[in-house]
Amino acid sequence: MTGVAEATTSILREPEYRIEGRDKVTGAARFAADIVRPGMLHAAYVTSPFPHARVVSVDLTRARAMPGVRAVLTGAETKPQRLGRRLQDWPLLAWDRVLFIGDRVAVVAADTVEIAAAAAAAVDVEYEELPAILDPEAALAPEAPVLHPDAAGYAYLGGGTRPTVPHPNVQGHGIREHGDVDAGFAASHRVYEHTFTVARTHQSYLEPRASLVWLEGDRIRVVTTNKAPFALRQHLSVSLGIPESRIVVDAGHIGGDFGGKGLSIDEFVLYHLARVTGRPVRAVTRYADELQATNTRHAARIILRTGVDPDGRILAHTSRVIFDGGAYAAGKPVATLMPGDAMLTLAGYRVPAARVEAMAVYTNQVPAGHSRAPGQPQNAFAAESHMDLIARDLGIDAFALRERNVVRPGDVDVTGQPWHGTDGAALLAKLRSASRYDDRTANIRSVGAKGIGVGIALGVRHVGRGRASMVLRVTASGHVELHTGVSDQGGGAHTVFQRIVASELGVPLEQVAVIRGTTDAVPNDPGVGGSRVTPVQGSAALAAARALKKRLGDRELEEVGALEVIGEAAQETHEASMYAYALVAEVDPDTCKVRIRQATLVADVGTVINPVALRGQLEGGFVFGLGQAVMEDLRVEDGRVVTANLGDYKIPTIADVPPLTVELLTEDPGPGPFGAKSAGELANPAVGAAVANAVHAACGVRVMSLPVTAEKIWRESRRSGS
Amino acid sequence: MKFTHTATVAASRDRVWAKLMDIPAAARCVPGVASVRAAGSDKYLGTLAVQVGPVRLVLDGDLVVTARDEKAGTASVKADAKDSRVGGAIRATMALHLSEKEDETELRIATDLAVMGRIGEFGQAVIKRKADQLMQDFADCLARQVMR
Amino acid sequence: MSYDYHEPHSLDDALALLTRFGDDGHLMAGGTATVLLMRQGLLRPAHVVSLRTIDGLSGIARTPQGGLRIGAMATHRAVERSDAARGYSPALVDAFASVATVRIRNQATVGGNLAHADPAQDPPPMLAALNATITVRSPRGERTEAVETLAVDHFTTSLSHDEVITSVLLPPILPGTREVYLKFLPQTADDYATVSVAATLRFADDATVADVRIVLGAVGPTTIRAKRVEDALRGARPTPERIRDAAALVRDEVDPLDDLRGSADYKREMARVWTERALAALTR
Ligand SMILES: Cc1cc2nc3c(=O)[nH]c(=O)nc-3n(C[C@H](O)[C@H](O)[C@H](O)COP(=O)(O)OP(=O)(O)OC[C@H]3O[C@@H](n4cnc5c(N)ncnc54)[C@H](O)[C@@H]3O)c2cc1C
Repeated sequence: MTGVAEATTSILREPEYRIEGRDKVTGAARFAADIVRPGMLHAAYVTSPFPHARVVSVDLTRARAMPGVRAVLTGAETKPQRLGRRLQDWPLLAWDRVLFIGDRVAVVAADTVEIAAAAAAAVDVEYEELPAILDPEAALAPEAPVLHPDAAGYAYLGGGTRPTVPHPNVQGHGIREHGDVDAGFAASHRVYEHTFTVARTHQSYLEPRASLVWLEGDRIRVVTTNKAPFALRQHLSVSLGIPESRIVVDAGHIGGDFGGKGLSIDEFVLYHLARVTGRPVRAVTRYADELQATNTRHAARIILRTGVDPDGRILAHTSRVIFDGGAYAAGKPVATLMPGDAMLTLAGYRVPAARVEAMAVYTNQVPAGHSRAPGQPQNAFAAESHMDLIARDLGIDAFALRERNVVRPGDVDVTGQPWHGTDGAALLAKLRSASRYDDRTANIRSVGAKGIGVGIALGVRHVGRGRASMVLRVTASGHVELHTGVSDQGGGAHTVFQRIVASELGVPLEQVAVIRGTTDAVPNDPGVGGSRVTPVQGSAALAAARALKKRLGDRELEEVGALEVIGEAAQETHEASMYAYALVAEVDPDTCKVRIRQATLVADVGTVINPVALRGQLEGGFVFGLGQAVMEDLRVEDGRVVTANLGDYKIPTIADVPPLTVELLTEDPGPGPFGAKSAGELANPAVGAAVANAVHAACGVRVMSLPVTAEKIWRESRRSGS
Repeated sequence: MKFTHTATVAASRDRVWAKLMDIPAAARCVPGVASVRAAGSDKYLGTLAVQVGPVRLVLDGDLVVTARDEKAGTASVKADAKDSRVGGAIRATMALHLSEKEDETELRIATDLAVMGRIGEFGQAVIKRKADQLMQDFADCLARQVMR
Repeated sequence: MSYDYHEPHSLDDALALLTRFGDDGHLMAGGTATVLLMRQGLLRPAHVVSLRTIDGLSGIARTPQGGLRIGAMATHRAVERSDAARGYSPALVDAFASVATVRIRNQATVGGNLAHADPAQDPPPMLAALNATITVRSPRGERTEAVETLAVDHFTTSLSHDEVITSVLLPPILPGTREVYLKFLPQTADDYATVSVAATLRFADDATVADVRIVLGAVGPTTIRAKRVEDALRGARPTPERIRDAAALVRDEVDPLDDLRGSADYKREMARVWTERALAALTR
């Protein structure tokens, strides 16, 4: 843990200048798909048109005969290799059965993208269709066909053994209980049960996946859009049976991630193509395939049951959360094989007794993986809608109900653990004043404004945990170079590190260079994700600067000559921070279109290191959440994504963004450098519920599923006659 | 995608059945179908050309009568066709049912259609509408032919 | 994707190329629709014939009679910013300005818009409501056609493949006429319409409706003219009740698809709401 006093160094008070900003706006920054190698070939896949089928035969004759085709591989050649971040259950190429539309059966390497695509189209595959399981409930039926009969043989990475599951079609499962749940319900004045559903969404980064693989002696070189290069090196090593020391991964600028770019699905088979052709081979994913065949956010069905006393205080809670995991669990990096926060069903409240059950289930749908704050948008939508419904039924103001229940340090929350984090009461007090909640609601009431309402919702996100190290080198001229394995996926990590090192050393920013290295050039790094970069890797940068200070003693940088230190950090404390929204929504009485007139966000962020990027993360998080709240819906019919381009899969544009007021809580230090916390996944999950609650307040209609579209409100209002 | 189409013909069930089971002739009732020819028992090869605006598809494939029961007036047909230019395929299963009511026969076709590959990226709603029209035209055309 | 790209310098040359290539050739104006289809692999022409190098197809000017002529190669943005177009009808400018984003509008042309014939496009209903006609050239000569009848189905027009739209002619607007274009976007501001309504209405001296034209977008295989609604209003005094009753008739005139922008039920009802709103705006 580091002190707070240093946080006031002047460097951190100035708005930052992004290190990579100039390269990006001038086009100098090179992304994976910009990189070419002499003799490079292009890959194209043959994919399944069926959600579930047996591969009867694959005929490569026509494809192999085409001029410019250098190699065609099928699952027969890559069998039994599978890929994945934790559980390697996704075959590089399927050899007996395909489990979703887009599952790969063969791959072509050819001189041009066009030839590769034409050859892929010329591969004749005979399939025998099998009944598809498109719904998790169907997958859980006792007699349901088992989608992964060979699961026992799958590699499970990261040590330990795969947790047991109650049904072979379950990817991951968890039950957690604390307190006396039955007694809590028995003592309750009222018990409420609600069921919510959340649509599948896509991360919608602008840059599609791209990767390039070639062999250099006995080394395998990989250029990739994967944001966790060391983890990818491990995945490749386990899957291909090649020691990590022979694999070098290079992940530079990444054109957006939002959680989706931790899963790689091309590099593995590209290695085989590079091996058989002796040439570099590249794959760049078409956006239609990004949407149909990579990894999405999980669709979910969430049942919450909560008992309260007459004042609305929570006495007991149970929940059952079912995530549609799709055909493979490969996209999920956590040990439970569920989305990270799958079990955080009533986050941010004092819960004396709870039993939470969650699971991710195999289906013949697009595989689901990680997306900004995995598991949270689903659970936050359910929880904060549930709280609002309880408040309404009890005739208690929604704000007041939350004030009565919100966690304060030391309270036991839904996890059964004492809360270490934001003082929820202080957060809500700040929201009340910043959003002028009392004035606004009084105003709406007094003028009898129809169609306008205020909705609130709060959310919780852990401060990232993990270990990282970095090397700090002093050059002969007295400059310092920080060597890190952290890629630039747009969050501003390198600028964070530069500012930390410069302010700790008391030198101008220009004297500190941040150099990203490939996996053979820098110490192991856990990658970008899990709200980790500032608290974990930032702490490593700070540790490096401190180590250097110690070595310097009272010498100046210019005097010491070449010197190298290593900074290591382990951020293992379980801390969390909170945020809350108040949204003012207006609902058109005839069309039910929702307009958010104003939004207020209060967020506990601890010490601010990059003030501009921090705002960017919070505002961007809001917009990201707004997309999921009101429009995003990766629609699937019979296993096929029908929103197969970004013209049909709608995400918000700037014209959709309402005025947003952001208020920060910065006094309470977090475990990160100088007291920083995390911000990247802090703001998006609760937006959905804030919208649903505001809509209910505005027009009396409750929408129990995301996204909250005008048509759903219209349908519901017709049904209920309100 | 699933559709149901019906057409009523002022003719006996037997006459309609005979017409329906003359597959090459019946298939020509689908607008855009060309060159249907038999290829073994209950198997036929043919081509279907479809145009939606600037997008032209030429679907080459086969049609198999997978079941027929003259007594019950039911038959099942499966069609698989591929467009090699655009890259994509369709698979349709059709359950045909004839029922006689007084001096009329009702033809009922329940279709389950899957549109696969790139073709499907064009816009499922429009494809659905097109397919719907195609099947209705087929049913109407059959009805007309029986009457002739 | 490989094809030969041709840049003829005269319309006659362009027509000659189209005739020569037949089904293997495809005309391209701004390319916003064509290139997307080509990248999706749905359209694979061997020859692309561009209109961009032909002079004289992009003017926008008032006619001596008080109408407006727009060259087929005028971009949406050019119409949006044209004083002549705004002077003719601000609602026409609204319709062009509601297309997509400025990047698309800078590139997409009026002729390309009409030939693309997506029923959810914005300009066609407004052009039809203003009674616009197009001039079409082919090796066989010149013909004109009403915008209202140009589209015959989803993405399909009555143009044959060697016909080129050269301009759009809008007749003079009679005094006392009001026009409006309304586009309903329930989700995001950057989208095709869920429903759109273009309408023009002219009052007679006795405050009854002398004439009215209502054309809807996105609720059928082509734009839809709401003739029953028009009939219910022509010659009548447009009171709020009468407008409400007339607008309700539109439900039976539209034939929407269930799609990502709304179910058929919702669109049908929204057609009613927005028809009523358009009429209310014209009679306020
Ligand atoms: C991202 C995006 C969003 C969009 N959103 C909207 C929207 O909100 N509202 C809306 O109305 N539209 C929208 N559109 C569609 C847009 O209006 C059309 O793509 C555009 O108008 C086509 O014009 P173009 O000049 O680019 O045509 P092109 O792409 O060049 O051609 C389109 C078709 O017209 C034919 N053609 C072109 N010019 C002529 C001519 N003079 N004579 C005969 N045939 C011709 C071509 O052969 C081709 O078949 C959107 C398009 C995109 C890409």
